[in-house]
Amino acid sequence: MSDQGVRPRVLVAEDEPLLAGALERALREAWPELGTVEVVHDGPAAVERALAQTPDVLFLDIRMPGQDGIEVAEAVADDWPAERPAPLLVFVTAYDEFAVAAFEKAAVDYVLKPATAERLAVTVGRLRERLATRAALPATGELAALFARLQSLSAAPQVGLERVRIIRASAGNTVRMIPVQEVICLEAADKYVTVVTADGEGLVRMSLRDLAARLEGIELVQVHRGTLVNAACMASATRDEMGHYALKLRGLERPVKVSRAFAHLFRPM
Amino acid sequence: MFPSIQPGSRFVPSPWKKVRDIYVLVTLFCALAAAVLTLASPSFAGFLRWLFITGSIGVTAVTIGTLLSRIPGLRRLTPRAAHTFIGGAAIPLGYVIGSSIAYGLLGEPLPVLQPEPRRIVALAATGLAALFIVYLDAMRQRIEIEATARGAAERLAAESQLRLLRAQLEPHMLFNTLANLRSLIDVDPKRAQSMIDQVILYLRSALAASRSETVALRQEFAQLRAYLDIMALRMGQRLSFEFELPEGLEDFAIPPMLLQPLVENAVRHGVEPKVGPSAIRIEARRTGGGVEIRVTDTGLGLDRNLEAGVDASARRAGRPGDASSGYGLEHVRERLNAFYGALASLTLEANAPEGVRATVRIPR
Repeated sequence: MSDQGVRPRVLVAEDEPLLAGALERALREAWPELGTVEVVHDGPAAVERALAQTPDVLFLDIRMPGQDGIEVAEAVADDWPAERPAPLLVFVTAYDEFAVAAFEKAAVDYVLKPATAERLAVTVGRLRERLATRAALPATGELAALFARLQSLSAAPQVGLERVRIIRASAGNTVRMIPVQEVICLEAADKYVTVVTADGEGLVRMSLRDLAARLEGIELVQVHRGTLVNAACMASATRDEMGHYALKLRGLERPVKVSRAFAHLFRPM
Repeated sequence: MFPSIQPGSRFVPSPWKKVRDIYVLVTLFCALAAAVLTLASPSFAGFLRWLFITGSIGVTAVTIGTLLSRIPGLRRLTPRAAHTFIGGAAIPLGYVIGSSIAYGLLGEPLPVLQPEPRRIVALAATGLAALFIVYLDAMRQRIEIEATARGAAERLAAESQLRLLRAQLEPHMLFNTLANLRSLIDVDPKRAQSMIDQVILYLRSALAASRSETVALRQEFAQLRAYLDIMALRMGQRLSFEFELPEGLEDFAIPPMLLQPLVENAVRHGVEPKVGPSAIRIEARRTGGGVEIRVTDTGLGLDRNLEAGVDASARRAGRPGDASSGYGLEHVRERLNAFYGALASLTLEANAPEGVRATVRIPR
């Protein structure tokens, strides 16, 4: 830990073994002072290792089994420990299918496979510069901001969206009409959103972002990658010994988990 | 080898513009017939009288024919049957009604009752003219239908060829393969060489496929093996595959690259998005009804695929959705239908315990 500034640690997430090996070799050549380079081959492993090892730099392939590179970055930003400096992201793809400009906003760099030595030298230059100037700890809201930037990559904003004040959510065979003011929180589950109210839950087959974008007359606060809460229902937040916050919502008995990226919202003023 | 747009399959009435042409033609014929009839006792007044009579018959016949051709039920007939019907009804009717009108207006008695050689000549002339016109119209229609069908077939052929090539030379696959080869050259030049051979074999078959009509199953399987070898190089341990081709089926002919989209789907939507290893099995066998070829994978299943993040990357890329697999399947069905007719089929089902099985059935 003491030499982290000197010998940066890298996690490479790339599902094709030959390319992963090639990237690792090329990186070591372009960046001799590099510390450990860990290589994983799928999305879930990338999230797990990134949170366990908290490396300085993440090289994430866009196309990976399990979770794609952006989903991995979102999950990592969501639960990144506050006592570690935020990781630097570099996205990698074989084919220029994503808007490069968008990636530059969310990440330090964006590399096309196979990365040539010259191109990788540029990336390493940027990373060195950023590592030298980056804060020792993630600034308040820094991860949440990174998270928001990543989310903006996930979907183009939908224009001409029909805005609603009543949510039609299915509960078994019935469709519940839920006025937005009665919503306590929205929780993403797979491809559904669970709409939680004081008298039960309903399902909406839509992504969390899409649903939130449609609602009118409610102030929603994001507290986790998969959770939006009604600002009017927030009662108190409790911090446990691990530094995790649990949010108490009016009308809901169970507490709602707050991820580290959003913990700063609940520090005393 | 393309869907059944056979020339002249159904009758289509002449467009109104063409009807006008027919009237002009008929008038000219009537003038000719009148001139022939006048030859017996040449005089200008005689010519006008005959022109009036033949004209009346001709215009009436064409009018009746045109009206008959608009009967909706005729569209169900073949052009030949429709033209026979129209000609058979319009010519006698036109003669009777047309001459009745003409003689009535001239104040002469109907000549039907008093046979006379000139009548027979007039009758024959009118009949010939009318038949000629029906024939002309039928010819015109046949040429038009044939041209349309040929155009459609050519368009489909060109489109199919282009689609095949584009599918085979998918940029993502090419870039990824080249990137892998590049790194393999560092680590294992021998293996890199054999991989390049596979790429060459694959590209050569893709190119040949866009030119030939059929290919032996042996050859199709060899090309699929080359494709999967390339994919296995990229995916390492995650992809394994096996082939089964019974001896009697090695020379069985199928449209080239028919199975490629099925195997591609298995890789792209089954193996690639799944965490952990998957297997692909490609087998051909004889069944009671003909030949069955199955492509089975143990990757991410059908439901998971519809819901999984496969589409998330497509959405990010600004595309409306990853329709490529649906497109591929539709293409396979289209080619099966064109090649073997409606009895051939492609079905997609869940494979137990996981993955997808695509089955192509080819009738005997």
